[in-house]
Amino acid sequence: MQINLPEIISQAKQGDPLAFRKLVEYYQNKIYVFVFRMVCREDEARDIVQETFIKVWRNFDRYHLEQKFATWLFTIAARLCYDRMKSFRWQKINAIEELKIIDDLQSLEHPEMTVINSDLAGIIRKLTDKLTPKQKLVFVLRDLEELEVEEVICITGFNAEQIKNNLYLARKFIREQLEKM
Amino acid sequence: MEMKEEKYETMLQKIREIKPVLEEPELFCNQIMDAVLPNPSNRIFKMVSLVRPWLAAASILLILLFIYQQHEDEKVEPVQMNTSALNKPVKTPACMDGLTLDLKNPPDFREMYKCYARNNRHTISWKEKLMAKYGSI
Repeated sequence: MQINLPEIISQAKQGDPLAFRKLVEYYQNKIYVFVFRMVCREDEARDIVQETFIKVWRNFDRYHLEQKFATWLFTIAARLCYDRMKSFRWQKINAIEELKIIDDLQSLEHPEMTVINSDLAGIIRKLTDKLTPKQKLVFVLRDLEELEVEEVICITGFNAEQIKNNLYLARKFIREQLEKM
Repeated sequence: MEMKEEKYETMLQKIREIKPVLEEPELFCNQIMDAVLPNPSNRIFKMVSLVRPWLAAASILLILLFIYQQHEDEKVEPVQMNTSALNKPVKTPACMDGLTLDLKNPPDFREMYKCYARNNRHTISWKEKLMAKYGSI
C-alpha cells in the first residue's frame, strides 16, 4: 500500500488520530524489531513500543517536519530502552534469567528450522548480555539495524568517538563469545 | 583472524535476517490507540479509581472513630449523686392528706390504696375493686 508519509506525519502532528493510527501501523514493526533486539523480551518490547508511541503523540509539538521522523521515533525508543536497561529492576531480571538462557545457537546453522522470538532473544542475549547498555545500543543500531553513523549520533546523542569506542568494545566482546562457542 | 571475522559476519547476517515477529499487530495497534486517546468512559473510570483509595481511607477512619467513641462511652464513670436530700422524710400537701413519706421507712401503699378504695367505693371501677380485694389481677 502506497502512503504519503510526509502528509500523514503532518496531519498526525496537527492532532489527527486517524493519521496517527496510520503512522503506528506503518512503524510499529520496525520499532518492535529494534526494541526486541535491545531488550530481548517480548513483553518488555511491546511495553516499550507502546510507550514510545504514547510519547510521540504527547510530544509531537517538539518534532520539526524538516527532521527525519524515523530518526526521531528511534531516538525516543532508544532512550526508553536505555533507561530500562539501566534500571535496577532490569539488572535483577537479568541476573535471574542468566541461568536459563536458551543455548540454541545451533538453530542458526539450520535455516530450515523456524527460529521463534524466544530463540532469537536467547541468541542475542547470549552474545550481548555482558555488554553495557551503551555498547549494546550502539551495536544494535550500527550492526543490526545498519544505520549510518550520523543517524546513530543523532539517536544516541553520543559523539563519533564514543560510538567508535563502544562499537569496538562490543564487537570485540561478541567475537570472543563466538570463539567460546 | 579471517576465520574469526567471517564467523562474526555470518552470525550477524543471520541475526539481521531473522526478525522478531510482532504478534497480533492489529490488536497491538488498537491498544496503542486506546492508550493514546482515552475515551470518556476510561476517563471517568480513571477518576473513580483515583478517588477510590481516598474514600476507602475515609470510611476506615469513620469506623475507627465510631469504635473509639463507643469505647469512650463505656469508660464514663457513673456520677455519685448526693441522695441525702432524697432520704429525708417529705410531707405531702394538705390536699394529699398531709402524709409524711419517709423512704427509709416507707408507708404501706397497698393499705393506703385499700383505704382509698373503701372510701370511694361508688366511683372506682370494677377493676380497681378487684385490685383492692386481691392486691393484683
